[in-house]
Amino acid sequence: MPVPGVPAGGHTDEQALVEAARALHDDAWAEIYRRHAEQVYAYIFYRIGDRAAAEDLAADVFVRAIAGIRNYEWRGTPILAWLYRIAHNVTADYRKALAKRSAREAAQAPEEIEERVDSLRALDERNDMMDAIRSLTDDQQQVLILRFYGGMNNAQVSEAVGKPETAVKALQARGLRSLRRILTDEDRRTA
Amino acid sequence: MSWRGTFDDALDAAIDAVRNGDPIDVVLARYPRHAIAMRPLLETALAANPAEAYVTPTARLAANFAQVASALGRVQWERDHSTTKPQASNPWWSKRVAFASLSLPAGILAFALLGAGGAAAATVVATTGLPRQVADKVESVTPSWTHGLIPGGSGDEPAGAAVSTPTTEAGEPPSPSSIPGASPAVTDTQPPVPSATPHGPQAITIDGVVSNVRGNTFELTASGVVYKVQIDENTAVTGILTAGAVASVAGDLTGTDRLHATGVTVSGDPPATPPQGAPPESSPEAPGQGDHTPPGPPEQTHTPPGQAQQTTTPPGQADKTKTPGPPATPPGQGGGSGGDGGSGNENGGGNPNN
Repeated sequence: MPVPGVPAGGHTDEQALVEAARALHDDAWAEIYRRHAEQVYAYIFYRIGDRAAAEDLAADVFVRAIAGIRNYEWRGTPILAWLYRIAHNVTADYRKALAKRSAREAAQAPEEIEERVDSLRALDERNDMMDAIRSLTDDQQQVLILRFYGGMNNAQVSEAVGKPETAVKALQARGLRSLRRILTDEDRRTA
Repeated sequence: MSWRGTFDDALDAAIDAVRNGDPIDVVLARYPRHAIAMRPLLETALAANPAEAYVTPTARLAANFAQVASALGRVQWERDHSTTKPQASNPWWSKRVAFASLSLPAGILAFALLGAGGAAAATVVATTGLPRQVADKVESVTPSWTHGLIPGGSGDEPAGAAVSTPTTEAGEPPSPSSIPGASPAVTDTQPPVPSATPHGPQAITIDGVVSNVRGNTFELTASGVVYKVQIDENTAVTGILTAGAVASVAGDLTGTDRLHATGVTVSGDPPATPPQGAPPESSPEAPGQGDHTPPGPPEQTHTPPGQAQQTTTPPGQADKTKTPGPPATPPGQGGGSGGDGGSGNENGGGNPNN
């Protein structure tokens, strides 16, 4: 299946695009951003649930990609898979920084944080599924989001996360079990 | 025919089937051994609905392309101005070699001194605080080949000490031609270096765009580099120095990004291309221009990437903030065509094919 936005004969086209990107051509990077920025944004948004932050982090992904493109070689894998891997790391870094900051703030002003957590909880209740997904492990989140929200099949997810298909299947099964457990617990609590 | 694979394999195949529209019961019938355990997981998988969770990006996403273009400009500039291979960072063993280069001769010297009965002196010499005259002797017996392994290895420096001469990322001192915006007619053939170096300030002329005019200072942006320019009563200023004006500044480079202006000629309006962080030679099209416009759909007018080629339409909008999200072919329909594993590094900085 061709990469969205890539015309027929996508492979050759994508390969040419990657070569141009490696040569740091302005047009190539504009094209890559045009094609994939929203996909990268969507992935990050599903992971963190904050639109503005996801928009900024999506740009960070491309900045990192530019810095690392010299080492990227076209081997038939869509560049989007690579971008997803960078997005995974960017998101993980963001969440770590956020957790650190939250811990610092919590030590300083517990009452304010309590209020903020309450309001976030209220927002999350609007979307139990995403809330539940975000409470899974990083790897499980990555697989389930790409699989169910990114519309990828197992082979594509495997490329994007850089893990064997068997590992992806195992992560998927474990993630779904945890998700089911979280959602049913949630149902029981609210009932 | 009953399924003989693992549960994970069965679940994966079943998910594909139900997402393609097969009824759950029909799918479960294909995997009787796993049906009971699989049903709740399939139901959960089906409940994960992209359309319900997605929130359309704002124009901010498109506007953020400016950061990407800026980063691209920087990388292009670095590429264009690094003519030599970057000097490798000191490997872990370099310090050991450096230490050995000193300790071995020091040991020999100490042995010689011991032989001469100067045990106390030898003890001092063999410790890290080598007296200067001893260090000079050490230098005289240090093999010259070790100098290449010791940064700035003149022998006068402590082992492993680096010479503080400013260098570019490529490990070279900045040359006039490597200074963004500098006119080719640099008046001095010496590389312009900060005044802290023995070379002193260097005369140079830079064309750029003026900003942050405050008292006796302003900023001059040239090819993505922002110079802090200092003027004084001796500076000849021609024209009106205002933010956004294009100016040619002659003066002394007193730091990597600091100029002491001897003359400023304001020549006109700013160039069409935004200079801040923009690529020096050609800049990517700004968001909203031409075919390379990055996606920046305004809120509520979302057309997911690749949507144009799809014939299916995502489910309807849920509420004001939620829109049909990633499409029937939502983000990530990466067309995994069975590559050979070269998926790139994880942070964009390493070997992607590992």
